[in-house]
Amino acid sequence: MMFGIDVGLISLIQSILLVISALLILIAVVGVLKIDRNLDNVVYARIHILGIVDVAGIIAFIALGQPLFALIYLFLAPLLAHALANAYFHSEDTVNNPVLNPNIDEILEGVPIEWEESEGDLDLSDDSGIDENLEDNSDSSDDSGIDENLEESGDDGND
Amino acid sequence: MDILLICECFLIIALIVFSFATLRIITYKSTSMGLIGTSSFTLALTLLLITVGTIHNIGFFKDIALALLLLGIVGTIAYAAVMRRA
Repeated sequence: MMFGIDVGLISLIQSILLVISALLILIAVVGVLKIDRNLDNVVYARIHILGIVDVAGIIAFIALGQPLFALIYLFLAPLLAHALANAYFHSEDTVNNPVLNPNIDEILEGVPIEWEESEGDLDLSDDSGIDENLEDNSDSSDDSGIDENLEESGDDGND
Repeated sequence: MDILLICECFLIIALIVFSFATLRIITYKSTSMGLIGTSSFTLALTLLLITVGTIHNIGFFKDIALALLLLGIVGTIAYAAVMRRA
């Protein structure tokens, strides 16, 4: 008996956690190896996939009776992933970083935006009526008077 | 055969497969991929050491794993910071 729980039950829970972590690791392996390496943001995708392995590692640490390792890695793994992504963005990312690739704006401006037309045309005739009502209400509100007072006093209202 | 031992062996096999996958990631040409693969390999090696130490009741494997985990991650973060500034 440990903490009032049968040892066999504890070893069963440990076994289940180990199997779950092993399956998560294998799934992450398949994802890392099968992802297309010609994608634009494949490095970020790989960091994202390896986050699964981080969680699996924490589960395995807990199952193996090492809570200190789990706690340390729980705090350090997000820092590690963010540091790697940040380093890649500022040093090697020529797709998203305008400092490394000054032609990003020209490339983005040259790409025409294609809007998908919906099958059914929406009737927006009622919206114009709503806008008119809003304009009428805004005229009768007291906000315009407040703005005029602010302009006269020269106060921008930020204080 | 104990079910816990079987599950630990299954975890060891998964970690070995994952180690080969991380070695494949390390061989990519960019520095960032090398860093990512190295940090993942560090985690796999740490888990392997702890699992084997648990199976065979070897105490100093945990000390080695703790040092490897801490120094590996801190070193990777430090190199990433240097790489960002450079």
